[in-house]
Amino acid sequence: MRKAFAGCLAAALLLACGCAAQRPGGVRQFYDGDYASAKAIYLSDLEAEKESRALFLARLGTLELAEGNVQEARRYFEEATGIMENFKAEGEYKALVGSESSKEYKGDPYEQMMALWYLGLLDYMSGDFNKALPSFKAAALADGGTTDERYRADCAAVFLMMGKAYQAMGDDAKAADEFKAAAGVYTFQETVARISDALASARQELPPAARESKAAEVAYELLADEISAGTTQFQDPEAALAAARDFAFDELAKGKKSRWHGGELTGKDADAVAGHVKELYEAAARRLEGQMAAGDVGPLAAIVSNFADPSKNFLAIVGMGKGPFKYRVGEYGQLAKIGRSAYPEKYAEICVDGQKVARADTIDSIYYQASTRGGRVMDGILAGKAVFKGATEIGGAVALAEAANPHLSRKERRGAFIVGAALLAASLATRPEADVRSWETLPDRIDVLAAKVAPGTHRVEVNYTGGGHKVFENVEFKEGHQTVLYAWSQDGGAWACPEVSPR
Amino acid sequence: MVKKVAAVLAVLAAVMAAGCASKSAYVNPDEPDVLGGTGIDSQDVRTVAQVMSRDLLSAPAIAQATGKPVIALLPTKNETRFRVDTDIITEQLRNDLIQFAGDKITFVERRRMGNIKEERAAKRAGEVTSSGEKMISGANYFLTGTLKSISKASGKMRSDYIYYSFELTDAESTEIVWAKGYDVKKVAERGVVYQ
Repeated sequence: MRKAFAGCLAAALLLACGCAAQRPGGVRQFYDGDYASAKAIYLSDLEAEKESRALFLARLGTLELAEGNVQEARRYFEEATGIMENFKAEGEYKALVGSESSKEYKGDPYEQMMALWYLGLLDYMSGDFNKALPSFKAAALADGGTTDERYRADCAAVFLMMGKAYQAMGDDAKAADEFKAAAGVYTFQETVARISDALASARQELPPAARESKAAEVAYELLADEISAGTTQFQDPEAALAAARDFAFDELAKGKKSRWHGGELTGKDADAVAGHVKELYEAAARRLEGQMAAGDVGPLAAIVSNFADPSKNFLAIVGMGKGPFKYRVGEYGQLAKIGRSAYPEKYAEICVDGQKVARADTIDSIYYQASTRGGRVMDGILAGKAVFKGATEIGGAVALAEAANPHLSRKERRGAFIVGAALLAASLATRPEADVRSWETLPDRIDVLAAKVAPGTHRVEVNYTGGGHKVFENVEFKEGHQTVLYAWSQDGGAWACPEVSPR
Repeated sequence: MVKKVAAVLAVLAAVMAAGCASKSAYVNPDEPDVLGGTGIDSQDVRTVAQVMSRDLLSAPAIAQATGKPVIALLPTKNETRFRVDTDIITEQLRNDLIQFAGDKITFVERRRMGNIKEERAAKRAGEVTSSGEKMISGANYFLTGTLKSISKASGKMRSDYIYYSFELTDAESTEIVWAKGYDVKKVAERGVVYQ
């Protein structure tokens, strides 16, 4: 009996040791600007943690870009995206029965999208437009590559650069399509704000009887409450408003009484509220439609139009702040959540030879891209593993308690001990914790600026309000060529003026 | 006893060495490889080049040409999501055409015009030796290609329809005298832990 117990303990200890997964390092060193140490860690981990190769390659890519090494960064992103894009993977079975992080890292859709976007950007900076375009296209597909249609491709930075690639290849019609798509991307907050405004204005336009009754009040509150839910379904304001209306009807159908200020919502009341919801929706939808007809071509239209202008020979792209990271929640850490890092920099102002050109405008939020990834099949598997782990843990403890019950026979106690030990071993062996490996060296958002700069060699300075600044000396601007600069607000960046000029 | 232990150790060492050895093998480029995926494969490139070159040679503009037509191959444009070096397709097509056409077609280089002009200027300036001056050959036709695709993705599946399109354009009249397409559609499913 003692031997069996000792054996179980040893097995449990071994399993526990196996559970102590080491998180990839080098992120802190990167943010501290200690690139040499970060690089040494990445290169060492690249060999040691084969299953995370794509992650370290992506981190090396951002590091090389921050150090100004365009071709090295390109090489790393080329290999990283090759792994991310390949459907063949190592460790799939291990991830099912053991820890999820034992599977080969391929990144979430936003990480794949960013790796492909960086690769496209580096192709573009190298003047290899025929390769930049496929990278941006693959980035758009990676962004939209989730199960839910509602989380379709919505990355303005990808559409914007796809437009520039088409423009550089001489296909202005296709470039215009992509610029239009970029201009039409709505962020969650913008969509919520637009619908809220349209709804409030629509309510004011209704006759007093249609807005002052209790049912009208409830209808307004109900519809306003569902705007966020509608916007998680669709980013397009008109489609999101329609989804909010449907949610409101669902709520009414469920007979939620709390919305009636504590009173009872009878069938007749519910019909009246539904009528007001319909009326309000139609009025708000008309307002949104009117805005579009009046030439509202999207919230990013002005930024996109400036960047799309082929006469602008200076394109500045700024990665602002620290990228999203993943952390575990749930009793067994079975859920991966997206966290947002704080950073002091607010905006990037660009100066050429000491003269302020303009402030770069935000075109995309990487945090938003990360946090709207949608559900995964793996989440369900991990939830199931968590339930199993909990049940076997309790079952094992109960059986072991029974093994110590003096009222049971020796044979029964032995049986209870074996069952208890087996259940506890199964519980220890079950690894429900979510994979939280993430490409933390991404920026939080992407800002862009396009300008005309006289040919010659200039000093370009990027000043970060609330943060530091970065100077790029001897930046070349040539007649008929484009100079592309990528700066990162933490420190560093790269520029290129390729020999190949856009057509 | 010692012999037995030594034999066991030798077997173990051999097994470990076999386990550590990296594996590589020659495979047929005309067949799909084990990596799969929905992208452009060597098989596609070779098939496209063969189909195009055979069809082009039977086109009236080439087959019934009175003289030896001069063709300039321009770079193949890639509008797919696959980051391939399209020179592979252009060069495979050119080589197949040369192989199948024999001396029925003359190909001229247009991608290295800058270098050619520089060399000609240096020869004419007496900076380098010259074996005789020639006119740069004008092309009767441009052979151009474009790769296009329709790509779709869900959390589980990915599909890519790739269309390879080539055309022969009269360099004087701009008439398209020959065109042919070749298409491929591939679907792949992601493992459950990635869905």
